[in-house]
Amino acid sequence: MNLTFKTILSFILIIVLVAAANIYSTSYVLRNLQEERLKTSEVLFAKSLSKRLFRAVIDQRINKITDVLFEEKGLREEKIEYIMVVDKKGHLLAHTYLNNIPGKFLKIENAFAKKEEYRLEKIEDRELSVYNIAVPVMEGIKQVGAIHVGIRSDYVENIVTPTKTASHFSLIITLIITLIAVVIAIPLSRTITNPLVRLKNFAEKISRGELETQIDIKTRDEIGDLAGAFNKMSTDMHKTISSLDQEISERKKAEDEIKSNYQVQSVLSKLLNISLQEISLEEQLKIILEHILSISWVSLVSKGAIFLVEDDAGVLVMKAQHELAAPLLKSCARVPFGRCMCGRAAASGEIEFADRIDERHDTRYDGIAPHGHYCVPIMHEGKVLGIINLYVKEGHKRDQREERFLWAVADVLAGIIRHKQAEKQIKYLAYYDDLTGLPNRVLFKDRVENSLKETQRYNGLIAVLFLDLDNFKKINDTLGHRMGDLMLKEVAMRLKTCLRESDTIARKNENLSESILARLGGDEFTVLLINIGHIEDAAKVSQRILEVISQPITLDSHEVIITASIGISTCCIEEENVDSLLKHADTAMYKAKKDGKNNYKFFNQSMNAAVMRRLDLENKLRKAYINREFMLYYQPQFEIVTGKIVGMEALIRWQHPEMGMVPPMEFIPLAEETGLIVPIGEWVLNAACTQNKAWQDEGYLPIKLSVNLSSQQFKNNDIIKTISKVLKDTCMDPRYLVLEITESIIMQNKEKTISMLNTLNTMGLSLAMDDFGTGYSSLSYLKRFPLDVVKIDRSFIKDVTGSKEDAAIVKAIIAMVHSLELKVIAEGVETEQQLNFLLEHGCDEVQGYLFSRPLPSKDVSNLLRKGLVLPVPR
Amino acid sequence: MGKRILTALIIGQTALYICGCVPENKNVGKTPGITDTEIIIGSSSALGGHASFLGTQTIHGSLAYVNEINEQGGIHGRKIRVITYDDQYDPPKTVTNTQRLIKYDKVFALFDYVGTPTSVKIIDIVQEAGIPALGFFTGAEALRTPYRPYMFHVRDSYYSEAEGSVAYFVDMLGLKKIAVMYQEDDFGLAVLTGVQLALERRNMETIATATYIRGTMDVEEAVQTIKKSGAEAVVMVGTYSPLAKFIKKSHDAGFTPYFHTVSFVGSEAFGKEIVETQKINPAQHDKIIVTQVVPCPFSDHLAGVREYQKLIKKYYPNDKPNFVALEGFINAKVLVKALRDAGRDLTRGKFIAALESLQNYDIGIDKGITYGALDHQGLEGIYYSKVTKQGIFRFSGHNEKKDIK
Repeated sequence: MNLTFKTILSFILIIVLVAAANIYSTSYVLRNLQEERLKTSEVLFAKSLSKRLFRAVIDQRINKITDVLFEEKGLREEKIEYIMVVDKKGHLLAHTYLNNIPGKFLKIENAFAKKEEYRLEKIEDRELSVYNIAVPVMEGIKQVGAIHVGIRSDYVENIVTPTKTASHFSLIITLIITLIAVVIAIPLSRTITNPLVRLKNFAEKISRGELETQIDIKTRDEIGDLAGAFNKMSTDMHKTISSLDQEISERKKAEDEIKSNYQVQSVLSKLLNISLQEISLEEQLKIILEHILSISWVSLVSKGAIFLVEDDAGVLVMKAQHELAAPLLKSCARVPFGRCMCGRAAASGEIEFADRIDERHDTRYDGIAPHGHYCVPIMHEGKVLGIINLYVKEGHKRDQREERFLWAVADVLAGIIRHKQAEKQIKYLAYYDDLTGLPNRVLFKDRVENSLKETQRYNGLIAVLFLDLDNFKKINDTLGHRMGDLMLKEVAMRLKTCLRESDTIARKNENLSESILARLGGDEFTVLLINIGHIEDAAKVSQRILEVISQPITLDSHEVIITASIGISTCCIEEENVDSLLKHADTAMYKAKKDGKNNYKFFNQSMNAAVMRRLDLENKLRKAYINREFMLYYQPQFEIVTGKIVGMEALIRWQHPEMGMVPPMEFIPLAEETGLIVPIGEWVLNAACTQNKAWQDEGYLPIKLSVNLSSQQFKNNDIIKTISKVLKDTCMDPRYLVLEITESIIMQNKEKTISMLNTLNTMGLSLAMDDFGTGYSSLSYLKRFPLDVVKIDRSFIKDVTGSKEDAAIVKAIIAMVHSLELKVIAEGVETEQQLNFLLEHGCDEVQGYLFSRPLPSKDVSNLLRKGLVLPVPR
Repeated sequence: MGKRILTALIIGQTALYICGCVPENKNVGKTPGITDTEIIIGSSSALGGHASFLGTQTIHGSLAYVNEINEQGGIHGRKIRVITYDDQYDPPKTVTNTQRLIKYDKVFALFDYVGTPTSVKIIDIVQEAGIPALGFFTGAEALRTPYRPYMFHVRDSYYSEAEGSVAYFVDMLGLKKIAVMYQEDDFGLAVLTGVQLALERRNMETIATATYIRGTMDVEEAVQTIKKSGAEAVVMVGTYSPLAKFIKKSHDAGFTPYFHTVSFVGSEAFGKEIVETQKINPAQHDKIIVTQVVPCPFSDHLAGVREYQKLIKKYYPNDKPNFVALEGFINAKVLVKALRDAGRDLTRGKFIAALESLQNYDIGIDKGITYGALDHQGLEGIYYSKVTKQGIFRFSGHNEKKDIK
């Protein structure tokens, strides 16, 4: 299809579409217009009539209706053909016909759907044609009749006639335009297509390279312009091509220059980019070095290092290196100024270049490979910050372009290093106290905050000590600020040392794990104790600090004694946030001052008392150990079938000279926390074994003696040594020693404990599992341990006759333990019913108040002498 | 004296306008009816004519509360001034009054309109002016459906009252034949439709309907129509005199069904008419029921009602407590609460927002007021009352609103 035909066809298509749309829309509008007009006037009329007549319709007041109908019709004679009113059954009530109604009009539907407001239909008859508007007559929501109004068709159509004519007219116009368009389109498209064909041919010529030819179209329109442009283009192309060859060679030269400059720039910008990364200076230097070494156009071997001058001037410290020979890593870790090529470059501030290993290479090693160097100083304001050491091939020629580049790299590096140093300095100033080098308030608070979060998560305990020197102002005033500063430095030193000590001690017994010391300003210091086991630990640390500080201080030949007051607040017993912790510690410190200085106080009064009480008890406990205030009581164990005494459990008692008998529940936990349990435990073992041996020596039947072991004793590897020593010292046969351990001991460190228990087992003594049933114990554990006896926890025995569950548990334990071929012993047996239950279910041994309470050793002797059997009739 | 100052002010203000140098007050002044010291509210109701009792009592109830609030210092430093016009229960007059209130008096909001035919005429005006309108003394559905964004109703609708009466007759008394006698106008048709809908929900229909012409006493024909139908209960819609006469004539004709009418009747006037004018047999009093949309105004166990009694005594010592004034009083409580919640920088938008966010606002009558963005019906549920020998209606229970939509 050619262009002409296409043009004409599209013309026609468009026109036909427009015409069709026009006709359709006109007729659509026409229809809508009719209905709209009827709705706005005639339907409204019918509705108002319906509203006016609804009651009359209900009441069938035909006269009234008829009157109204004729009156209304009279007013609208020209358009209304008839009005009819029917009642709810569809019976005609009134109408405006003078004679009969044409049959057709009687058949109009009268029922309306709910919410149907009106109905419009066209009705045609031989004689007349009307639009019938029907509306319901409503009483509330109930239809009571209908009204029909007939509007003459000719009236309705008259409303819209002009519009109709207009639509016909527009159709004719459309046709005419189509014809004219076709007539015009043919020659028009010709005038466009002809020159286009010629242009096409010309363009083909140009593309073949015939640039001297021209095209002859001179019309004054777009096509003429296009031809002109074609001509100009062919001329210009001719000119351009000839000058192009010359230009290309010049460009190439310049390009090379630009390329190298660009590479320098891009390397530098990459370096700067690296400097923006949030990594340490060392890492940055490493990346930068690798980057420099990877540049292809600088004649480098892929080897080199970067040195920096650190605090003590005159020494270069290697901070980054790439593939240096192993011996160099050590020998060149620190290079003094003047030594080697690097040292020389640092001393002179100039690039040192060598094309081979020469006399300036002070460091030699076996297997050194031939090479040369660029050593480029990193300078800042005339000061050397470091050296870049790069390897080149032996015989490499010194190159100005390379040097320029290396200087540029060094400059960038200088910037980066300075920036990092400044950053570090700023950080230091922001977080540390200048005078003492201790963390300042900001850092301290930050640390407190962090550990608070930890503590709250793990339900731990932390303490803040607030320390203020007593009468420091006086020292400042009398000895001067310099002395004051020296004093603060000394105090800081002492505090540091003191805390380091207590940290180390603490780590051993796992109570204290860490502490942080800070100076808030003036003579105020704070200490954060993290993860302490007890508030007493805070008291102990405070006490130690007070002692350390009150040692005489020599300041420039003056000997000064200073004391301090400490306030303590803790979390999370009463404080929940950093500020209140600090504030309360501060308040407590003032209390300490008020109380005569050189002491410490807790913020919480009751805590003061509680701590004092505990510390006191702890002291007494220590003394008790030294003063031998402990003694052992023994509770007999009976074989349930024979009723014979087969064993004793040794139980510790503390007889304090003032407090009297202290129950084990009160002092055993304390002994465990303070670690005193280890020596006390050792004493118990010793005493028990000695006693048992004594009984045997006295001639009684040998019995087994059970001794309880604490988990603390197991943490200490010495327990095995201790036991063998005790056995040896007392000459006890290990068969008569039973060690009672709890489940928690085993759970602490299963593997280690099992191996220790195995060792003990091979030594010949028996092992009993104490308090069985209260922990995690399962059959599989029991199987893995070299046990001999399992002791059912007293809590199950207590209710064994009252609670079905406990009875079931005890039964199960006995059965289970027997299946492992171990013995079962029940403790805490207090009633005959309990005894009968245990007997019935096969328990091996029993122990409890029903038979005997724990007795002092002399009473036991009596008992043994009598050879007592179970006092209960069975 | 006061008038003269006002005139002077108006003249002065006009002069300023002419000079083109009106003092601009940025926050105030933009919202009509709000000045530094006043909130101006407009009301058109039947203060004169045959329904004057309704208009005056509504306004008295409202003003008793408004005056008290003003005496206590107003709302955020402004006093409420209510401009009231009399429309004599004549719809065209209501329209004129409303236009005057909006255009010339530049009121902030419309308030306390009385009657169905009157109120429906201002629906379009309110919508076009975007003026909040609160507290209509009518239960007409046309003011409620479709949703009218600027209209807020306190009392429950006639549909609810119709539902209440049908529930009473059909569900409680087990009656089957319900007739409606109504005033032939929008009011009558509104309640009639309510009854028809309530019956339809129970698969029933009215056994008969009859009408009388508004402003007349011609009820004899209606008595005949209804009596013929054998109705057991008649819902009557209209004003107190013809309704009381309808009852009397029914009795005279030996026709003694239950009678019911809605709260709009004006219970006191109706009671007086029954006892004094028509002298209805007291034995039949129990069968005359009026549904109410507010609780008993004589009660002393509701804090809100006690407050009403106290303030009416203080500001209108000659008035006796009545249902109509109590309703006006409650309207005013809602108005004041919303004005207060809207804050000092009062605008119509904020006022509407304040109303729409009322959640179970306690007005001391055991039921709270709750509006929402698409729910402008405040109180829900109706009360039943019966006539006593003194002509005063006494309470016989109440009916929570059921879902009737």
